[in-house]
Amino acid sequence: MEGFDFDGTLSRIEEIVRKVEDPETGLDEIVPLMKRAEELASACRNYLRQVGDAVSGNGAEE
Amino acid sequence: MEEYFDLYTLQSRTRRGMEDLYPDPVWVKAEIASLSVKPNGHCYMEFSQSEGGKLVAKARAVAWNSRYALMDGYFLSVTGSRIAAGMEVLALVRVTYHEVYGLSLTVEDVNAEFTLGQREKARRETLARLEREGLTGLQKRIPLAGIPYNLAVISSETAAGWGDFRKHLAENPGKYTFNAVLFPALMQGDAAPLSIEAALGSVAASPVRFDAVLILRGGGSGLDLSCFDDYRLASAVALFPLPVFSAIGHDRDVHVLDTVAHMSVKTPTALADFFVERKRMAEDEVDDAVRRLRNAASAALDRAGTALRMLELRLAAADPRNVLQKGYSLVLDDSSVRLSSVSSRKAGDTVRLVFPDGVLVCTVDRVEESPYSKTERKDGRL
Repeated sequence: MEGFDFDGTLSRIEEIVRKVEDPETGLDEIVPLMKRAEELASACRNYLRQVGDAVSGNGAEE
Repeated sequence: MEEYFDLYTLQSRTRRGMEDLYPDPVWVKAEIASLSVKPNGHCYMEFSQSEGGKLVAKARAVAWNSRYALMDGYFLSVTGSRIAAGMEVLALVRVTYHEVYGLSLTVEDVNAEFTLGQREKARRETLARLEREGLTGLQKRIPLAGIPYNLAVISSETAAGWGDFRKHLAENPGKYTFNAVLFPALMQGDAAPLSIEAALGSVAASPVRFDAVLILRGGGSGLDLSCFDDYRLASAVALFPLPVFSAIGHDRDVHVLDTVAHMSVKTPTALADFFVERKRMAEDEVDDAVRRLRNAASAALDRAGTALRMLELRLAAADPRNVLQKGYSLVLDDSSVRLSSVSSRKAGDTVRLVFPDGVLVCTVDRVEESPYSKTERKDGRL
């Protein structure tokens, strides 16, 4: 997840929400938008729980 | 031959002179240049005074074990630290002079409140200096990453605070993950400021891009924390390019380090909560966006459903079968073409009257045109 842009991804989800909220958006467009937004939300959640280095370690020994 | 004293006489006269001059104990202000507590509990010190960096006075002092234990205990309870070398003290001393050992001061008491006041005075002077140099607000201007992940922790490997912090972070209910890396340092005593400064250097030199630096200690509230009032340490923290957080774990005083830090909290666990909370808030934003997304999708489906129902209603309204149900009938010619006028019909033609339950096949007897069929009424109705 190094380099993951959480804020940018959240903004993209917000953009999709606005598009889905727009009454002009057709149902056929909404389904793929929903799928994409759910994928992005899942990526955000994974980022918050990313499996990286363990909590602890010793900086002086690096 | 000139008049002389033997050495003993000289020393005896000096002793008597001293005893006459200082018959009672006197308060003396001095710095403890060195201090050594022997196994029998007696405390041997060297008092000194310097002016302009130059030593101007020095004397040996001793606190006998019975007095020293009481004094040191009280001093610790008031100042948070034990009587130690480097401190400026106000001591009640009995001046003694011994023919063999010379001048010595026997310490009867040490004024803990004086040392506390001196420390507070020094702390305020340090704060004022940092303020003058524009260093107190620098850290607060450094933005903290939205979701901090890489945390450089400066603490003692054995410190309870580091253990508490690590445990609290690892056991957060949201199961959020962090990369907390320890940079060991001394967290008390005279050597602590330099040690912490060196650890800051290691953080800066690390290949890991840290989001924040956390200076933690905790436990041992009776120990000396004056190292966190050190000017050099405070200025190093103030000038550090990453946000530095302090959690010294002491709720009695605010240290100079706390003042210059990006943020200061009382305990390491409170600091762990802070970072966990940042992630929880970020996830709340995601959850909120997803909730709005689902609501919007649901609203779009509702809108589509409503539009569909409206079409169905319009279709139903237009369905001739529904008209027939109301008592009307549909007239067709013999080719099943709908008739809307009598004009094309003549006597003898066959017409079909369609009802909901069947068809009447009829023959036209005669055609009677409506008097209104040719001209439109003034009110627009036929």
